[in-house]
Amino acid sequence: MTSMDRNGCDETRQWLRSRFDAGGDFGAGRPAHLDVCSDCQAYLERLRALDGALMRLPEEEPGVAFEERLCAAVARSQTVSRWKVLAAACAACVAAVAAGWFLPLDATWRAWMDSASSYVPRPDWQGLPSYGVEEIQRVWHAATALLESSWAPSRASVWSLTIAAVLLLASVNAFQFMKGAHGQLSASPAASRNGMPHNGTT
Amino acid sequence: MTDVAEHTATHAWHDEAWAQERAARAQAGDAAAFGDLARHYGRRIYTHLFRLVGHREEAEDLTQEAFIRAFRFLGRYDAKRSFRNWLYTVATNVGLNALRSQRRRGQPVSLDTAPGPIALDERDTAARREQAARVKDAVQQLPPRMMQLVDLHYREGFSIREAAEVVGMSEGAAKVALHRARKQLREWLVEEQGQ
Repeated sequence: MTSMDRNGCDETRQWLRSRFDAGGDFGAGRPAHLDVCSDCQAYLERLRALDGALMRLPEEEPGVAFEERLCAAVARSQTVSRWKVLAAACAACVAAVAAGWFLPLDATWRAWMDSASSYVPRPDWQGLPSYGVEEIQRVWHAATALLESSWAPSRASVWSLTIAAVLLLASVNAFQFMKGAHGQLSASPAASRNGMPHNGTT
Repeated sequence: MTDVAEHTATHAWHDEAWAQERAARAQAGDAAAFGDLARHYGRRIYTHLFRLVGHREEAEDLTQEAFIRAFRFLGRYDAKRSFRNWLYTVATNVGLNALRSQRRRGQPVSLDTAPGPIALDERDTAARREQAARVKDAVQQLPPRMMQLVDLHYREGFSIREAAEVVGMSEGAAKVALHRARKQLREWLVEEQGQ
């Protein structure tokens, strides 16, 4: 190889390297030397082979039944968080029972109702006729009388409501738990049929 | 746009639309929809994490951790954005954290083979397989963020901007890192034969 050829190779390879490193193609501004030098053509092919291999980086093969184990692990983590919900519900239950025990519910309620029934609303909205004021007062008294006669919170009623709420929460939780135990994270029917897109890289 | 690029873009759009629909259902409490997502992305996330840690068992554990974390924080996913990008961001954080603690413990990342020059004959299947293995090993020897950019951009088809977002870089920094990564790979895999 003459020194002139050697210089042509150096320049061409420098050009090829800079194009490759920048991720560009080898078309525009291609040195004429490339058409006559088989060494530089071989070098270009090696760069192209590397580019092609980068585009075809393979997927790794995980262990057997990887997806099943993955879904099971996620389902297990969900179960743990459900136990946390149940623990929070139990704590709320204890707090409600304590509230029912210590708070003077009957007396407080009675005081509220007394002040509500003795209160007479006197709205002075501009343009409101007198029969409108009377109507509002009538509705107010009917509402307080209805509330007073229908329900008064007592220790027993607060506890009953709390127990009912906790039982409801526990049964919902148990239902979800049973569902989870039978493969809650299994593929949905739509996905099993044709909803799941093809995984592009196989 | 070429036919291949058009097909890839259409496929990516369909894939993303499907994932967003499943993610929305999972957010609404449909755990089976999240199962679909785990099945669809599991192997790809595993590959991404395997590149980082170089151990099959550890990569499997990290993949599980990434999906558990994604499931737990699904409420934070903004349905207007790409689910794939969000999931890869979660997985990348899990992987980089693991790598940091691995280094703190002084455990080297294990790799089977050192990079060497790649075979040239594209028609020979065995040579192509050998070439793919060498390139894969070389990619795994890049610094972690650089390697993740290469994996996301070339294997997963992320744009440079998307890949930068996933690894927590600016787009400009990601371009520079990719340039350096290509240069490094060229020096490892081509120059020995080319010189």
